[in-house]
Amino acid sequence: MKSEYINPFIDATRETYETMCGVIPTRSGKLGMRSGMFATDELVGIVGLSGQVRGAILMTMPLSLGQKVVGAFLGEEITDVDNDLMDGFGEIVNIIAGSAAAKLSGFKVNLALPTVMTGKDQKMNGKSSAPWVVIPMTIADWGKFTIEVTMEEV
Amino acid sequence: MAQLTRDLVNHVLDSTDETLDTMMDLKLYRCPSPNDLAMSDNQPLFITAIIGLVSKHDFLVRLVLTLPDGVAIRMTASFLGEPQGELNADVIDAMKEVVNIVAGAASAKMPEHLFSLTLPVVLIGQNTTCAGARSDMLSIPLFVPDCGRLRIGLSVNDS
Repeated sequence: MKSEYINPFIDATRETYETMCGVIPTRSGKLGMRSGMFATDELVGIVGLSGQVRGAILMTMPLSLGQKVVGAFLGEEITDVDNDLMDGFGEIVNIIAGSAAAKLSGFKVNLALPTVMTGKDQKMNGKSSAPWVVIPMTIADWGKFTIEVTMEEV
Repeated sequence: MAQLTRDLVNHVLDSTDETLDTMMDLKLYRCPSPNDLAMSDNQPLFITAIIGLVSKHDFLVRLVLTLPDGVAIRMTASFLGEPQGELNADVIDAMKEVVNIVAGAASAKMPEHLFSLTLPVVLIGQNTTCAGARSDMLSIPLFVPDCGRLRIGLSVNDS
């Protein structure tokens, strides 16, 4: 995947968190690439991308951080794994994906419905032909999360 | 939207039936009772394959295939024509391919909607919960003899 495809996702993540949650996430390490089987955190939100590219954006973080993020997004404390958490998390990923898609110049990108998964020992799989690009992020005093993107031109 | 959902359910079920028959020589049946996937395999490891369909007519579809790892392993063995001893990359790729083929076949049955497909994504985990953010998910319990139970989830929403 070309590097110019990644910056829109980083910018969109920063802007979404700042606007919607009142916090500013920063990069917490170098970009990575993942293929084969790899572990995710307990909370995973995915939005598929279609149109002139085929792909997906994923946001994964520990449950405790997800509750803080969605709590800030909704303006109320989230303590359980409930519909508020799942819907809120999906909506945040959807906003990031929509914002990034609008920033991807030269491409018409459509968003699919967001899906949120929770579970223990979750793993994902990426093909070597379309690896996941991993963007490590951190929110000061809250914790670390990652944005991951896979994309191929149609 | 209700008519569209009914059409989608029928086309997705027909496409799943055709895909399993053609690619794996397996028969697909609707489960008459509420589906408890854990009952079919005493293993809590679940595979969830997700693909999105985006219509040019401003609506979105999410197709989710959920099955225990044992069922996926047996289906993959039929798909590849060789025994699969464990959950490996071949099994994951096979489940991606199944949802991709089913979504492609279903969209071909509804050409008026001009669907484009996302890349399929597969997650594996214990005690997984899959939530369809922004819309409820219709869950369709299914059964494949010699393999076990599986479930197809469908959501339709305006974009």
